[in-house]
Amino acid sequence: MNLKYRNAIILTVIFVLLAGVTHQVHKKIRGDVKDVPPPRDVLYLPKGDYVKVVAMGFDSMWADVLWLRTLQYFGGHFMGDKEYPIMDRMLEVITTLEPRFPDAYSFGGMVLQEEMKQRDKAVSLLKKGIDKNPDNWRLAYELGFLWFEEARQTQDTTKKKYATQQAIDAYAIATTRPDCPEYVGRIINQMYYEGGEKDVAVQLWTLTKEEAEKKGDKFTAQIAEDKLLLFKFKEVAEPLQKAVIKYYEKYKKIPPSLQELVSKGLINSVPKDPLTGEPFGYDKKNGRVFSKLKPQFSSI
Amino acid sequence: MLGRILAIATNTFREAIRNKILYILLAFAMVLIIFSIVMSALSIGQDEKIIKDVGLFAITFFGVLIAIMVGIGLIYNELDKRTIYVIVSKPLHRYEFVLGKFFGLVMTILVNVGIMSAVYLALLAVKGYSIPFVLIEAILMTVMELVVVTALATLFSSFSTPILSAVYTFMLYIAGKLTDDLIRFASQMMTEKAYDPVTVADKLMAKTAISISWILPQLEKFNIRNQAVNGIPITDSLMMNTLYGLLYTGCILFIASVCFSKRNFK
Repeated sequence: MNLKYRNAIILTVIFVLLAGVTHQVHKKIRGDVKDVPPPRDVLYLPKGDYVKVVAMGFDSMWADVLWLRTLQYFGGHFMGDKEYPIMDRMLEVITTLEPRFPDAYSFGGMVLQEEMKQRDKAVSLLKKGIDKNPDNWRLAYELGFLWFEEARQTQDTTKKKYATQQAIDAYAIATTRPDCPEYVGRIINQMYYEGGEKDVAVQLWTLTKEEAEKKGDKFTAQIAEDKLLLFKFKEVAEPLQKAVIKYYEKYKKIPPSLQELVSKGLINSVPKDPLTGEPFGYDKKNGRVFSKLKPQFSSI
Repeated sequence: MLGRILAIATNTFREAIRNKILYILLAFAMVLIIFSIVMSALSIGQDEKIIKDVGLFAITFFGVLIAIMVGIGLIYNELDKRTIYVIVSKPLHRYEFVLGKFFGLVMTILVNVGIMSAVYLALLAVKGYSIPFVLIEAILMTVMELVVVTALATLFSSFSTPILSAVYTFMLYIAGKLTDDLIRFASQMMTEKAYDPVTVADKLMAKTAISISWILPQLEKFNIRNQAVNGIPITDSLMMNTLYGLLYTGCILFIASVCFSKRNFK
């Protein structure tokens, strides 16, 4: 064999052996990738103004890094304890470093309102976004949507009136921004004159779902999808649940089955679950009507 | 063979300690270590932690800078001064030359880290702070990290110009620091979520990330500085991590030797 080839083969064998042993040791110290703990939790983050000082002019880049970290942070806690102690601070820092970061405002608003139930923080984040992004209509639209949902969910007349006015004001801001779709104006009309609360809600959540799917924002799309299913469920389940309550008030006991409501003349027939096309689930112990597809949905 | 490697190493060490950059960096490191006293005076009750943190940071940061700044010019300077022609014409294997250069630089780094550590530990002793053994272990693991960085600098120096070698080594150092995050990223991508099922693209990206992570040096395995300062128990096996560092260095030096052997000096 040629000496040159022989040396090349020997060198290759030595390298493969060396690399192989290194790889084995590396494997041992690293462990299984699936066992790797989730990203280290962020325990503390200074205010955005302070972080801006140490960003040394690379504000936008650090905002991007923190944005990725925020998504990881949210994902980790969403799958785990559902506690997000510094989520609002992370969003504050991102939007201070990079005030023109619409997704941070949109996603942040949605998480703060829907997941963390911190309406005031969601409102102030979206207001900051509206202020810093004068050519963006979507953030004002999202703020309007947030207030609209608030108005729809509250039973207090004064609060409802206040939230509705806030929603209309926010939508009005959206209509003054470039590229705002014409349907936003229609929403204001519907809220003012038609009072079709549920129809508007379905319309808004459908739009949110479509937009989220277009953007690839699976979290928001899932929330919107659940809201739409809830509307569908409630439409049929609410009268049924009311009939169960009526039965209880009349006979002082929980009906043993939903069929019992028909025999006592409280309803004409037991409707099917619109989400599954099959009979509703029914808990005989507490009289709760539920969907087998989404057992967490409450009809009242 | 060992004699020849040692001769080159000793020469490299002598040459390196004449390098002015080395003294500038060393001076900066000293200033920073001593300046940590001022920084600690500004803190409330955290002075010991600050001095320990800043000292370890200075040793690592300036150690890496020395490894890169001195390491990148190792072979290029021989070419520049045309001394390489004299060396390669001698009865000396090319790999012996590469290994000699590498060990010479490692000696330089050991001396520098030694000086910085001596000042650091003396400062802690003067201030009356505890010096647990784990602090020494942290410095030793830092040395291991610097050895890997030196091997990388030697590799790039064997086939590239000093500026490009510095860029490559620094980039690989940063990538090596982020390897743990890369693995976490891959792990997250492969985790099934209720609202985000794992797609083929996710799997592909995760596999790619894992493949890259095997090649990159996992430098965070040599970082026990936080645990040392805060008294957190170390769960990793330092022996295994050191073995990994040595083997990884061996692989890099092997490639460096092959690259250097293939070079044609005309």
